[in-house]
Amino acid sequence: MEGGTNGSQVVVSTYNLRKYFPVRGGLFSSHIADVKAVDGVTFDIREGETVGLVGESGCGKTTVGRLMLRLIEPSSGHTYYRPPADVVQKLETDYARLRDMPLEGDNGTPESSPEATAALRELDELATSHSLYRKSHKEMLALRSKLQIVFQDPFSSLSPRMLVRDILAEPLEVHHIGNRRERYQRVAELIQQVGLNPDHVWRFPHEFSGGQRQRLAIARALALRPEFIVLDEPTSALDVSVQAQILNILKQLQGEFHLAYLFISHHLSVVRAISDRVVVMYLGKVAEKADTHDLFVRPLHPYTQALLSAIPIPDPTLHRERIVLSGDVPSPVAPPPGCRFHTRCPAVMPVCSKVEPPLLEVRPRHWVACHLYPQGIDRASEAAPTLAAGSPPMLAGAGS
Amino acid sequence: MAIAESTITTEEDQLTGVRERPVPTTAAVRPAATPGEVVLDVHDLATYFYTYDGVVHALEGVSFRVRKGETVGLVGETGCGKSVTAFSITRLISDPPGRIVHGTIRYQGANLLWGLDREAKFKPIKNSKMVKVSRKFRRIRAANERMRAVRGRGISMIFQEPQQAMNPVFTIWDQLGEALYLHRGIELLDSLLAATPDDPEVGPALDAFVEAARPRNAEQARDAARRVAMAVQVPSFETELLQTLRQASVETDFDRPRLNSMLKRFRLTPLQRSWLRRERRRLELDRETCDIYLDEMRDGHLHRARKAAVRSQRLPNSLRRFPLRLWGINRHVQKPVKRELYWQSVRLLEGVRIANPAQVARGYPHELSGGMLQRVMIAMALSTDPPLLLADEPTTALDVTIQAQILDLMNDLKTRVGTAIMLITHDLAVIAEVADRVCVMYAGQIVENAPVRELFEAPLHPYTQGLIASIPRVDRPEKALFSIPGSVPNLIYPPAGCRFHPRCPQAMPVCREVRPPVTDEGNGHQVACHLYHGKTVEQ
Amino acid sequence: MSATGTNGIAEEALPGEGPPGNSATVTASTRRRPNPRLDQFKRTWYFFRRNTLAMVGLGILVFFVAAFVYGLVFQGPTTQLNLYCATDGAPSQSTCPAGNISVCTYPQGTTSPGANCYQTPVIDGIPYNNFIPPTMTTTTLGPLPFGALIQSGQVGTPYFYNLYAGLVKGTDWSLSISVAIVLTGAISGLLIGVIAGFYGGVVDEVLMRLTDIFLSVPQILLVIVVILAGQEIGITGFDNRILLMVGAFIATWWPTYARIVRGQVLVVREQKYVEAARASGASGGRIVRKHVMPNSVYPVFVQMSLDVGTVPLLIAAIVYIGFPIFPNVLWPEWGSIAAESTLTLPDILQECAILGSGSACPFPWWQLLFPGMALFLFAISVNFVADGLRDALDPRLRR
Repeated sequence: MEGGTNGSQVVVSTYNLRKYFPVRGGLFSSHIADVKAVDGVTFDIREGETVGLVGESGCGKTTVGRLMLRLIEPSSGHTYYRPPADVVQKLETDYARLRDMPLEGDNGTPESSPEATAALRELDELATSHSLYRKSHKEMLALRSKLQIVFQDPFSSLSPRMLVRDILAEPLEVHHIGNRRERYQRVAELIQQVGLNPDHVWRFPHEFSGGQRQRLAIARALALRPEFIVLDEPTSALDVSVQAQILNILKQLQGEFHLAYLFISHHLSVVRAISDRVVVMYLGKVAEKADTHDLFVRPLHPYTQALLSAIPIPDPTLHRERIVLSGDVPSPVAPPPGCRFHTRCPAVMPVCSKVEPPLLEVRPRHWVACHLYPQGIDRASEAAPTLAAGSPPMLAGAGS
Repeated sequence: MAIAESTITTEEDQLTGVRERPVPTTAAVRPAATPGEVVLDVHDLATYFYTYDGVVHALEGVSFRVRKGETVGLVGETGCGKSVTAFSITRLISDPPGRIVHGTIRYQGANLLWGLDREAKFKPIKNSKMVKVSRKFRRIRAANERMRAVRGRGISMIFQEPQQAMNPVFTIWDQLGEALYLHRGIELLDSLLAATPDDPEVGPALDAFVEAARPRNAEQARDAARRVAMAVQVPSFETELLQTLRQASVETDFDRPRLNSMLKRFRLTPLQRSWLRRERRRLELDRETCDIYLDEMRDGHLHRARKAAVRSQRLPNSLRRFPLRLWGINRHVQKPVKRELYWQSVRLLEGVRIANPAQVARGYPHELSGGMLQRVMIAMALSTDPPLLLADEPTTALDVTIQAQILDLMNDLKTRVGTAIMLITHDLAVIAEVADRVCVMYAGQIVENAPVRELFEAPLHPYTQGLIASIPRVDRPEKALFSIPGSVPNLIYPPAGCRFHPRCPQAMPVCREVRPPVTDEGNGHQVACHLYHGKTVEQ
Repeated sequence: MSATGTNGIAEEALPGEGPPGNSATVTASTRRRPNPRLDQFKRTWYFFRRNTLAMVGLGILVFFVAAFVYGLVFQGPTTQLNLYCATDGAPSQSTCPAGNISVCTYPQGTTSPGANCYQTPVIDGIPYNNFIPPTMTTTTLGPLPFGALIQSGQVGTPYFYNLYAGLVKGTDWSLSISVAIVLTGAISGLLIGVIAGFYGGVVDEVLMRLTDIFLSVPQILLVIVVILAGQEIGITGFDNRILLMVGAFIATWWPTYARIVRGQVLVVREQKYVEAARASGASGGRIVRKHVMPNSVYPVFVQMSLDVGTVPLLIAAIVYIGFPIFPNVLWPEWGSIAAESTLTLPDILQECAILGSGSACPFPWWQLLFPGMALFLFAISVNFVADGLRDALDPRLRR
C-alpha cells in the first residue's frame, strides 16, 4: 500500500479503523455522545520494519495499538494480519474506488451507486474471511502468539505477586507449549536474550529497576516468538541512558527475529532513532505519514512542524524558533468541524473549518491531510503552497 | 511569526528552523564577569536511609552552590539522588527512615542544618550491617519549626505531578490565596488598610477608564486602570478592572455605577478594620519569629530572649482578636481579605500567562490540564518572590508542546523576576534550554559541575559523555544509540572508590580504591574524576 | 562500546526504585534464592514485630490457641463436665459428671472448722445443707494454667461450677465457630466479589443487589428466626441448631467481603498486567485465578482477622437475650456462661437477701468478670493483630 521495500510482505495493515467510546450521562445513563478516540486510521506495517506512531496524549495512538491487537473491539474498520498479496490488491483497488467517490453525510459514506455497492460488498467478503475482528475465538488464540504488546508503565505491567519466572512462562502456559521444565528452560533463554542475569528469575518484579522491568516485559512479549510487537511508549517512563539500552535491545532483537514493530510514542527524537516510517496522529486522525527521513527533514503538516519545533534540543548553542500552539488540545468528544487542527493551526484558512482534508500522497510515499496541499502526487512539483498568512515555517529554504 | 532560516548546508543533517544562538544568551540575564552572591551553598551533604534491607547511602558528600539569579540544573538518572537533594535542602526527608547524616546547607548565610549532630545518635549493631538510630525528637521538631522560616518564603518548591500537588476540594484562588496570605499577608493587609476609595482623584480616573472601555482600546484602558489603582492605592484593583472589562459583554454598559459598586470592597467597617489590624499584628509577630529563626541559624545559637519577647506579645494579641472571631462575624470580617486574595491570585495567574485567569481562579484543580496546573504551581511558588525556587522535574509529566510552553514561561520569568532556580530533571535537553549551570549527579555524588555551554561542548566526566551520547537527537539521524553498559549501583553496597568505576570505559586501578576529589578545570568547570586529578594544568 | 543488550555483569545487584525521597531497599545477595516467598514472609514478620500492640495481641491470641488445643485434647467431650457435686462425705444424690468435691459445711453461727469451709445458713432452725452460696476459690485440678478450678457455687443447688474449665473449653467452641463462620463467609464473599467485579455488567448489578439484600438483614434476628423456623420444621437437636446458627451467620457475613473484594477487583482489572495476560491469550478464568485473585485478597485477610473477634460477641448477645441455642445456659461457650451469670444474678441476690448475712453471700463478681474478660481479650487481641497485619502488609510502610 504505501512505503516499505517492494516485495517485503505486509505483516499488519489497518483500514479506516474507528473507535468511538460512548459517553453516558443524563438520568438513565443514556448514550449522549461519543469520544471519537480513533476516527479513520489507515496504514500498514511490513516485515522487519518499525513504524512510529506519534502524537500527543489523547490523540488515540494507544487505542490504535490496542485495536490492532484486538484487545478492544473497533467501532468500524478492519485489520488484516499477513493478508495474501491478492487480498491486498483487492483491498487497495476497492478503497481507491471508494475514496474517489463523492461522499455523503457526516460519516463520509459513499453515495449509493452500483460501483460503490459492489466495492462495499467485496470489502465485506474480504473482511469476513481475513479481518482480525471476524475471526473466531480459537483462531484468535492461535494468532495471539504472533501479536504481542509491551506496555508503557514498567511498574504495572508485571503482576506484582508472581515470580518473574512465572510471569515469563505464562504465555507459554496459556498456549500449552511444552512441559514445565521446557518452559522454564525457555524462560532462562529469554531472560538472557534481553541481557539480564538468569538468577533473577527467582525474584518479584518490584525488586527490579524500571529499565530492567521493561526488559522483562520485552522478554515476555518474545516468549511466543511473535512476528509483530506493539510497543506502547516503552521508554517514556525511563531515563535517557536506560532508554538507549532498551532501544538498542529492541533493534537487536528486531534484527535477530525479523520482528515488525509499531512504536507508539510522543517523543519524536526517540521515534526518529528507531523508526523506518512515521505516522503522525492528531485527535484520532492521521495528519501525516512518511518515511522517517522525509518527515523530519521536510515536515509538511503544520502540526508536525509545531511538534518538531517544540522538542528541546540538548545543545545550548542551538536556538530554536519555536512555534507555540495556542490553547489546549480540543476534546475528542466534540472535535472541531472540518480539519481538526484548525483551531490551533498557525496557517489556518477559511476552508479548514468547513471541509475535512483527505489524506493524499503529496510526495512519493509521503501522505498529508492538509488543505495546504490540496493536490495529490501529480501536482507535487507545483506544490509551492500559497497561504494567507505567510509560508509555513520550517519549510526547507532550498526547496521552495 | 518569524520564518527561520537554516544555515546548515547539507540536507542530511538539516532540521529546519534551527540556527545558532547569539552568543551568549545567558549574558543577558546576568553580567558576565562578577558572579552574584551565593543564595544556596551546600557542602558535603550526606543523607542515608535506614531501611529493613540495610543503610541506603543516598547522598554522599554532595557540594554545590547556587548564585543569585542563576539557574542550576541538577541532572541524573532515576535513583541518583537528585530529588533526595532537594528534599534534604528543605528538610522534607521523612525521618525515619531517612536521616541527614552530616553536611551544611547555607541559605543566605543561615545554616539550615544547624544542630544536626545533636538530633540523633548512631550506634552500629553487632553482627549486622544495621545501625541503631536514636533520635531526639524534640530537637528534630525544633529544627522543623526553624525550617518554617525558610520553606515557602525563602525556598519555594514545585513538584512533578501538579495534579497531585493541589488539594482537589479547594478552588485555585483559595490555594493561591493561602500561600499569598501566609507569606505576603502583611503587605496585603497594609494595602487594604491604607486603601483610599474616596480619594478625590479616583472619580476622574474612573471616568477616564469608562471612556477608554467603551471603544475597547486596550492600551488606554490599561493606563486608565493603572491610574485608578494608583489613586485607590491598591494595585490589584487594576487587575479587577481589566478582568471585569474583559468579561463584560459588548452590549452591557460598563458604567460608573458599576465601578462604584466595585469600589465598595475597599470601604471597611470599623469591625473589619479592627480585625485587620489585629491580624496584621499576628502576622507581624509570625514574621518576627521567622526572622528570629533565620538569625538563630545564621549565628549558630538560640535567641531565647527574643523568642520569649515575641511569645509574650502573642497572647495579648490573640486575646484581643478572640472576641472578633465569634461565629458569623468571622465571615464578615474576612470578606475584604478574601476578595483581595482573589484578585491577587488572578493577577498571579495573569503573570504566568493563563488565559481567562478570573474564571480559572474560580475553578477547581481537576478542571485544568496538566500544563495549566503546572503554571498555577509556578505562580504559587513565585508568589512570595523567593530568592530560590526548587523545581523537581516540573515538566516530566507533560506533553512536549506543553513542556515547551512551560520552559518558555520559565525563561521569561527568569528575566523578569530574577529568582535563582534549581531545576532537577533527567532530561538534558530541558537543561540545555533553561539552565545556566549544570551539576551532573551519579549514585549520590556530583560528578561534574560546569556552565551549560561548557558541559555540552566539552564534557569531561565519562558518565556525562556517555549520557550526552545516548540522547536520541531529533536533528541528527543516528544509526545506533550509544548506551552506558550496566546499571545504577545498589546504594546499600555502593562500589568502593569512584561509584562509577564498574561502568566506566576508562576505569583505572586507582578508581577502585580512592574516591576522586573534585578538581577545577577552569572556566568554572569542576569534575570529580581520576583522569583529571594529578594532571598539571598545561593548556 | 555500544551495548547491544549484553549486560552480563554477573555480580550485578538489583537496584531498587522508589518514590522520590525514599531510595533503594534492595537485597545485595545475588545468590540463587529458591524461596523468595519466605523472604517476603520474613519481611512482613519484621514489620509486624516492630508494632508493640500487635505483638501483645499476638501473645494473647497464642494463649487462646493453646487453650483451644488443651480443651480439645485434654478435656473430655463436652457434656456438663464442669459440675462438681459438693458432698460432705456422704455419697451424692445427684449426678455430677465431673466428680465430687467434698466440702465441709458448718451451720451459721458456729465457728468454721477449717479453711475452705462453707457456712450454711440456718433458717427456722433448719440448716440448709444443700445450699452453697456463691463463692470463689481456686484449686488446682490439673496442669496449670489450664487445670485451675475456680469454684463457684450455685445458689440453691448442691453443685459447683468450674468457671475456669468452662472458659477453657469454651475457647474450643467459640474459636471453631468463629473461624468456620468467617472463613466460609470470606471465601464465598471472595468468589462472589471477584465474579461481580471482573465480569461487570448485568452480572455485577445482579450480584451487588443480592449483596445489598443480604447486607440489610440483621444478623442476630436472622439466627433466631432460622433456628425457630428449623424447630417448626422439625430440625431439633443441638448439633443441628449449631449448624443452623453457623449457616445463618454466614449468610449475613459474606456481603462485606463481596463488597471489599469487588472494589479491589475493579482496580486490579484495569492494571496493565491483566491486559498483558489477555494479549497472550489467557482466558478469563485463568486471569481471574492467577492475576486478579492473588492481588485482591489482601484486604480480605485484614477484614477476616477483625471479624473473628466479633463472632463470639454476637453469640453472647443471642444467648443473653435468652434464646437457647445451647442445651443449657451452663454450656461451656463464653457467651452462654456470660449470659448465665447475668441472668441468674437477680435470683442469687434474692436468695442472699433472704439469708441475711453479707459475708456468707458475696456478690459473685467473678462470674461476670471472667467470661466478659475472655470475650474482651479475644476481640481486642484480634483487633490489634489485624491492625498490625494491615500495617505490615502496606507497601508504603514497608521501608
